[in-house]
Amino acid sequence: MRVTQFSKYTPYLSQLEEIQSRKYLNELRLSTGKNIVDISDTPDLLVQSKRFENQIKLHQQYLKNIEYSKNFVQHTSETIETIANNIQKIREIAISATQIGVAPDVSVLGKQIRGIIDDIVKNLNSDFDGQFVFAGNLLTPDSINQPIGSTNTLPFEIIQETPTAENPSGLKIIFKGNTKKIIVNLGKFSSEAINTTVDEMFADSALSDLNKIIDLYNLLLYNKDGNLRTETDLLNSDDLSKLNDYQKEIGKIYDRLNRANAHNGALMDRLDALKEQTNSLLTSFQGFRSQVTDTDFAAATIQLNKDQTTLQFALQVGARLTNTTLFDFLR
Amino acid sequence: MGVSPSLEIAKKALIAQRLGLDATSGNIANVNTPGYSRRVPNLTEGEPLPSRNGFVGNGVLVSKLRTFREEFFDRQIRRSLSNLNTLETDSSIINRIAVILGEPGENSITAIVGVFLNSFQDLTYKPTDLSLRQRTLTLAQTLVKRFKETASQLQDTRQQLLSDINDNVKQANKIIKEIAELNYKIASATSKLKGDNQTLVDQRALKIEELSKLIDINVTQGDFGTLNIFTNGINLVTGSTYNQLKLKESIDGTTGERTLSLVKIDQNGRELATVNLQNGKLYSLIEHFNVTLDDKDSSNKFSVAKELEVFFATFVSKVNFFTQNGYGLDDTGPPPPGRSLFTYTGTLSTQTAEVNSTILSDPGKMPISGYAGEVGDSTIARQISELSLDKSFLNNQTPDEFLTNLIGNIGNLGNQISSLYTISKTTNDQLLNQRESLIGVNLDEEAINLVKYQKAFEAASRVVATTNDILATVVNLGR
Repeated sequence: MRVTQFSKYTPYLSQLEEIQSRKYLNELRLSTGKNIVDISDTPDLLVQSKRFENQIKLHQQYLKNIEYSKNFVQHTSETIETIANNIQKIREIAISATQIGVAPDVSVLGKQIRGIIDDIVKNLNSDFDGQFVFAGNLLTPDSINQPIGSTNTLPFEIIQETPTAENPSGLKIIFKGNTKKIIVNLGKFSSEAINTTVDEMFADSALSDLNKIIDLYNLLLYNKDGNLRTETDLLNSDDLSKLNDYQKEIGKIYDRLNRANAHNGALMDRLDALKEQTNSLLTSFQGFRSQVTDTDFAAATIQLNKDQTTLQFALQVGARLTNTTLFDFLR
Repeated sequence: MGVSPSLEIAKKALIAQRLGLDATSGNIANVNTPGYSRRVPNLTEGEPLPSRNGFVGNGVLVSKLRTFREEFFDRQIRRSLSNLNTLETDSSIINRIAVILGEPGENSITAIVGVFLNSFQDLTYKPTDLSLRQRTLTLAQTLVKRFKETASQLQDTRQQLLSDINDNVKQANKIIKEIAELNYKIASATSKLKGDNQTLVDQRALKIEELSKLIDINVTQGDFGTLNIFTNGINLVTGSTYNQLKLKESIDGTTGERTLSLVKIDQNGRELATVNLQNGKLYSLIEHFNVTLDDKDSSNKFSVAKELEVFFATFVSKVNFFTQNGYGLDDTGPPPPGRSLFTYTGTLSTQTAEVNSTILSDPGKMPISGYAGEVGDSTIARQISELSLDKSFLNNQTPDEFLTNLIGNIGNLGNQISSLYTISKTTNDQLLNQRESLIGVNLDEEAINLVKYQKAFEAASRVVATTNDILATVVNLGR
């Protein structure tokens, strides 16, 4: 083949350009730590990396949801436990009232119960991260409707009604929320209700069982005529029978609360398992993404060294291209 | 036979060797001139003269200055250049699109859509949290802004292409005119001098190659050394006459789609025919203007701008569909207030959409509850967040799959162009190399030629001197 000036320089320049561009690409890979530096480099890997990236973000969000749900359920569980303990205290007071030696202090016991009822209602109005825990999906004071006699916008309230023979104190615990569930996404196509509703804790949303405590309070504080008991106003056999019934009813509330908490315990176990599973998936996705997108430093360094050597030799050859022609020897 | 024929022979030799020296000097001078084809004098022996002792040589003649240009290589190179320039332009436009989309990168459109949808998951468990609502609204604004910016940058690029197309049409017209003028000069030289003017031929070949970079052309031989230029059956240059090209823009009355085409016009600017390009820089520019960057494209080919618009419109419509059935924190009902998260005037597009200002001014109004008065209900928030898993979102793909595939398609296109470009470049380099090995200048060869012609010139001079001495001797014989 006849070699001309053009045949010497043009292919050389083209090759030099290619070596330099290869070297630059490897320098970029090493300096950024990213394997994919151009959309057209390896589109299949780019698509893969994008899919992994999206899965990672989605699973990070699920982890966040799970973590929040766990904290919420834990807070709910602890609150229910406190309420159950208070219920148990009331039950113990009811049992104490039936004992002969304590009988003269029944009105004092009634006052103790009143204090505990306040504590229970306070706990029922508890909030987590600014949202009511037991109000169904009415999470804020603004969303709570106030019926007649209600004085606040909390989901549970002890209201004062007109005293009657059945309810001489006129007190009543009312619920102003609803029994709707708060549903959180915990994974792909997987969601879970994380709140405990009032009908899971008590017999119904009218709190017919919880108001038995008011009945107990009335029994201990008022006599059959509806007057406040005096020291000599002892419990008669009818009262004792009622006391026994109330005590049993209160026992049922305690059991129901424990059942609700058992459900929460199971939910927390599930959330723990889900968290572990999601974490494991997340780690896998991060690993896959890393394999696709991160620079293989060893390979890139070796390649860069090769390119540098090639470039060095190419430049030396380039310097020789201009060296000699026959004209240099013709004197 | 006398002495004077020797002088005549020496004169012819001097002229021939001098021409050789001139051709060599010209070759050396043009060693780096693009399109230059080396010349070598074609030396032939003069017709012998009869003498009593038989035929005696009549010296040397230069029959022509020979060049080595071959139509085969010229044709192949023109085709290759057309293809190479198509791919080069394609590659440059695809790279610009990749930069606009922020790919590969962490703040790409795909990432923003994902973060926006995920923000609704936070609202599923804290629907009343105003700061979380505000965050989602800020992300909605970012999303709209990003799509707006992207669409507007794609349209800017399209406008830039229009300006490039106009420049290139002007350039093509200039070259067409120059080729016709060169044809005229070559035809004149051919008819007057009975031979090619190689310089003009080389210049014309160079111009034809420049034209083939812009449009795909066919070249046929005309009379008196002229060449005729066609593009897809439409003649642009016939001898010394030529037609110009004009860019024609048509706008669809219904869709408003702007389409460019190239037409051949006569000297009065009247449209003669539509030029359907298949290759070349202009083809690529027009194709990307009409398809890739046209958000109203109706060709069913791959259009990045349209795909983005379709995605955005679908996304906004779906989110709005959910929010229109939802309630804000203070909303009563049913029926729901029918509040859209995104509003727009006229036709829904990246340019007309905004985040609902009513919701922006009061995040509590963001309708994410499915039931009136139930502020803790997050049915709508969940439905929106689950859009990210909705396989029926668009073309049986989730939003993320659609956008990832869009990026993948752009990447594949870029990759395909890059591979084809490498192949085309190699082929083009090989063809250029092969042609250069024929027509190019080799300085060593020219150095030898220089010595060869110089020595021959010296020898011929010596013949003149010797003949002169002989003549002097003859003249002095009578003294």
